[in-house]
Amino acid sequence: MKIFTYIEPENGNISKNSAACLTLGRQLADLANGNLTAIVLAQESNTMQNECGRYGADRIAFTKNYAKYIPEVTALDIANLLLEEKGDIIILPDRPAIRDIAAIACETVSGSIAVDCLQVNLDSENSPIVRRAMYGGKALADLKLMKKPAFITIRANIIQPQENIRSAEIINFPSPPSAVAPKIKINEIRPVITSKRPALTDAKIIVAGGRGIGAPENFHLIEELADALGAAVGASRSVVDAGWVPQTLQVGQTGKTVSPDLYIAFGISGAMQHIAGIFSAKYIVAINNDPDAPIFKIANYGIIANLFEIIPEMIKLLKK
Amino acid sequence: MKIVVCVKVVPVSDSIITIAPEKTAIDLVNIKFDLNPYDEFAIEAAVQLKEKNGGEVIAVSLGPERDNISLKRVLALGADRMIHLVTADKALSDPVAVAKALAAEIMPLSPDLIFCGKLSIDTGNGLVGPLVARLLEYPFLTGICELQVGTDRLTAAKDTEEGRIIYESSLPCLLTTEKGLNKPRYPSLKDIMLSRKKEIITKNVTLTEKGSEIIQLSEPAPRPAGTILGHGVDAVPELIRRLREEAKVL
Repeated sequence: MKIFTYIEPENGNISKNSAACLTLGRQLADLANGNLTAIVLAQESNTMQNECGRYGADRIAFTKNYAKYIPEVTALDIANLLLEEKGDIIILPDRPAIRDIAAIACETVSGSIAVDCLQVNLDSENSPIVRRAMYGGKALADLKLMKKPAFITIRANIIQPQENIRSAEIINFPSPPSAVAPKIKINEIRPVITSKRPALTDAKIIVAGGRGIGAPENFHLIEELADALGAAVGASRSVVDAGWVPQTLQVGQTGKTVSPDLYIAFGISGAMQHIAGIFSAKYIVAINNDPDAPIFKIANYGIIANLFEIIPEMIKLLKK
Repeated sequence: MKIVVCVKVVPVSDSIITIAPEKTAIDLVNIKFDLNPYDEFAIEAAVQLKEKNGGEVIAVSLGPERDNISLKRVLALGADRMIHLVTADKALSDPVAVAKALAAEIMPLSPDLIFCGKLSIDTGNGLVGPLVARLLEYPFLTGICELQVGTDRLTAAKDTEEGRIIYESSLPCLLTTEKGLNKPRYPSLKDIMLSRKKEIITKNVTLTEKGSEIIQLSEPAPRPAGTILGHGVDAVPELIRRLREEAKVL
């Protein structure tokens, strides 16, 4: 059984989510008596080779055809390798750009696909059985992936990376994929001008604000606490729909589904679409002045209070 | 300009989801269905382009017969034709099988543009758009929040964690729409009256080449009952202590 993982570089190292994918890949390879190959989107480097080996890769392939933001280039490279190697499973860290890559590669090799998975097991015939959320987290589905190769993307922050040290042998991509000029090109990138907060879907801590924040000019309180905690900033749908914060911050069924270690909700009543989106958070804290707010039913810790008093106090105590 | 919009009918987002006794489907009793919210941005984008440049908007949907009622709204929102591919196959949860059925229907139409919602809020995959694009050999962009269409090229923007990226593509092209691209209209009484003259063409289809199947659905384990630590600012030290010592997340 041949298992592959797709590795995203991050500051010259492998991202934490990539290490988690290697950990899962190693477990599956051991179950099925197979081997694990890391596909790395970077120039050949000793650091990458060692890091992939550290989390259990037997082999490592460096792709030279990486074009950031153009999924087709990477996808065809991966498809080519999987076809040549007769790969059975490829595990990728979940994010929108990677879903695009996985979709293209999956269609190119006539495989099967499941995204944003929480668990992966093998059945008696070594077909992957994945668990993923449906209906925005209100149901869990166990799916059997019937066609090989199976593309499986894994939700961030669900699997803890575990070391399993090997020396990963470098393999080459079999033949360079035919150079087809992509029909899509990038005209411009307008970088976001905010502080270096983590991405909402990757963050260990999220501080989120809802209607209780009162007015858009108060949202800076949420941001200040987030920065004190090194956290990402989230928002409820009503705040986004009111135009107080951008859509990219929305958490819930029509926004992002998140799995942080800690989710702190300020002035969020807890509509079921929002609750579904934070259901897999390890700890939820709710601060709301309405003792009947539904969010208190799912929060591990709650404080019934005016958030304008609580946030400055939290910042003060955290700085101690 | 010929534009195809792919739409899906889903349980509305405030539905309470329970699992049916056979465990491979949800209980449909008391579920209200409507158009997938992201598809409304796709319909609006297509109709706006038609109003500006002329042409035709053809909507295509795949799903069970009951979807027919919700699909009437697509015609009221401005689509000229609605093609409903009818199947009750369980493989409606499989993006590969769904994309193959949609692509087979769209291929002979050879549209200049195809719009899909960014994802459907029931399965939450966001894969059908890219898969349809690949099957038709169209370039695609997912989750767009800005769009300008010229005669043979378009520019579109999407927001990523690193910023807003402005892309350019040749036509034909497939685009999936993010919230914020436009403001979907409410159909006027006149639109609704006019839409009654338009028809929903239904065709029975069989799903083939399934990539996945649902083995079992379950409800997420309930979260353990939490603790109210108190009222007002006096509870903050206890909260910080619990987060540090009990939860160990700070």
